[in-house]
Order: sequence, then C-alpha cells, then structure tokens
Amino acid sequence: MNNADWSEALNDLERRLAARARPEPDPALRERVLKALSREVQAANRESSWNFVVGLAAVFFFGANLTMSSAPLVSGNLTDDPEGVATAARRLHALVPEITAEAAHAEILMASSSSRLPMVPNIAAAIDSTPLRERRE
Amino acid sequence: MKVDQDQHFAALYDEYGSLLFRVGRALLGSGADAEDAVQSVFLSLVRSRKSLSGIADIRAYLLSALRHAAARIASRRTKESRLGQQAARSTLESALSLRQDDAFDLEKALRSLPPDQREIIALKFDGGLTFAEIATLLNINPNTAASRYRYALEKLRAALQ
Repeated sequence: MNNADWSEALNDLERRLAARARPEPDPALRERVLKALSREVQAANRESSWNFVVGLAAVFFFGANLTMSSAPLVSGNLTDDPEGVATAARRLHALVPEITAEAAHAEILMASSSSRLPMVPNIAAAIDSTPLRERRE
Repeated sequence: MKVDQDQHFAALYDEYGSLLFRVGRALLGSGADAEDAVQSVFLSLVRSRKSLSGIADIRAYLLSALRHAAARIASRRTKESRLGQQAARSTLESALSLRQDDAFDLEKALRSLPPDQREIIALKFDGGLTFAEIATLLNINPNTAASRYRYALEKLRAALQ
C-alpha cells in the first residue's frame, strides 16, 4: 500500500467514524440527573443550616461557660449584708480615724469576702520550718 | 431561588447532556456506564458550585470531570471483571445490540485501542473538539494530540483489516 492509498484509507476511516451512529441518552436520564441534583442541593443546604445551628450552640455554650467562670470575679454584689458592712466600716473608721471612710469600707468588704473562702488547712504554718539541728540545740 | 437553581442546572443539562453522554459512551463502551458518568459529572458540578464562578470554559470543565468519572467507572468495571462478572464484555454486547457487522467491527476495534488513543477519538468525533481544544483538555502539546490521533487511526485501520 503506497502513501496515497494509505492516506485514502485513513480518510475513509475518518468518514466512517464521523458517520457512525451516536445514540442519544435515554430521555429519563434528564429527570434522573435533575432529581439527583435537587437532592444534592437540598442536602448541602441542610448541612449548611445544621452547621450554623451547631456553631451558634457552641458560641452560646462557650459564652455561658465563660460567664459562669468569671461571675465570682466580677460580681457587683460583693456582700450579702451591705448594711452590716456599712456599720462595721463606720466603727472601724471611728476606731482608727487615720483610715478614710472609703478605705474602711474596702477593708470590711475584703474581710467579709475572705470569711467566705473555703476552709483550707494551713499546712505551711503547721510545719516547723526551723532546721532540725537548731531545734536540737 | 431554588427554582432558578433548578432551571440553571436543567439548562446546563440540555446544552451539554448529550455531548457528555456521547463522549462517555465512547470512552466506556456502555450506555449505562455513560449515564452514570454523566450523573456523576453534574453532581460534582453541584458540589463545587461555590468555585464555579472562576470557570472560564464550562464545556472543558464538564469534559474534564467526565474523564475523571469515566476513569473511576472503568476502574470499578475492571475490578468487577477480575472478580469474574465479565461486566465489560456484557456491557459491550448490550451496547451493540443492533450488531450491524460494519458498525460492530468498528466499535470492537475502537474498544481495542489503548485508553489514551480511544480518548482522542472520542473527543474528536463524539465531542467535536479541535486538536487545540483536546490538547488543552488533556494538558498535552497540540502536536502530541495530532500524532496520538494518527496512531489511533492507524491502529484502527490495522484492526479492521
């Protein structure tokens, strides 16, 4: 087979390839694909909404947790007995006039707050820190 | 909003559905597998819709997605075939149910081509792409696309003799 024949054979093959039957997709495929796409979009939207709700809940719980942890530190209600504190502050100011009324009030508040701390044994104070050799002496 | 989106996808399917099916069928040799590939392409389109605005050539994007989908399906079929299901042979025979001798021989010869050469033929004749477009899609030199096409024709010619 010479070059011209070979070229003609390839041209013929190209014609056959171009002319061969090309079946169209089943018309039901369109509906099937579009339904699948619709389901996919809905699923994506649901996932997006769910992620938003989960994110919102996480922010809420974080905020609530932060508020509860910091509440004892920032509470404006420093005492259950403001009148008692005021009376004690006035007495302290009367006893020690060098302390201003505001300073006396703050001292009483601090004393009142520390009185509500949980009891913890003072181990350091209980331990005799004097070296053993000095104690023997 | 949802209606607009559905219409958008329907319009895309109407424009490219047949093209994708034809190329998919030529790549896979089976109408059923081609339908699965087409559905997979459109689903991938939905899943990546947030980045679709950056796509300059939607046809090239869809054909590229089709190649990946067809490769996945072909790989699955090969595994099934190895398990003894002979899926490839049965799908080819069902696809060629008309069994006109000439057409059957041509399809059989096409199926015997190496995947890269069959792909060139599918994109050229079933996809209607130019060598430049094929080269861009396959990320190869246009001359490589043209020579691969010529090898494919020569191999087809030899198979048909």
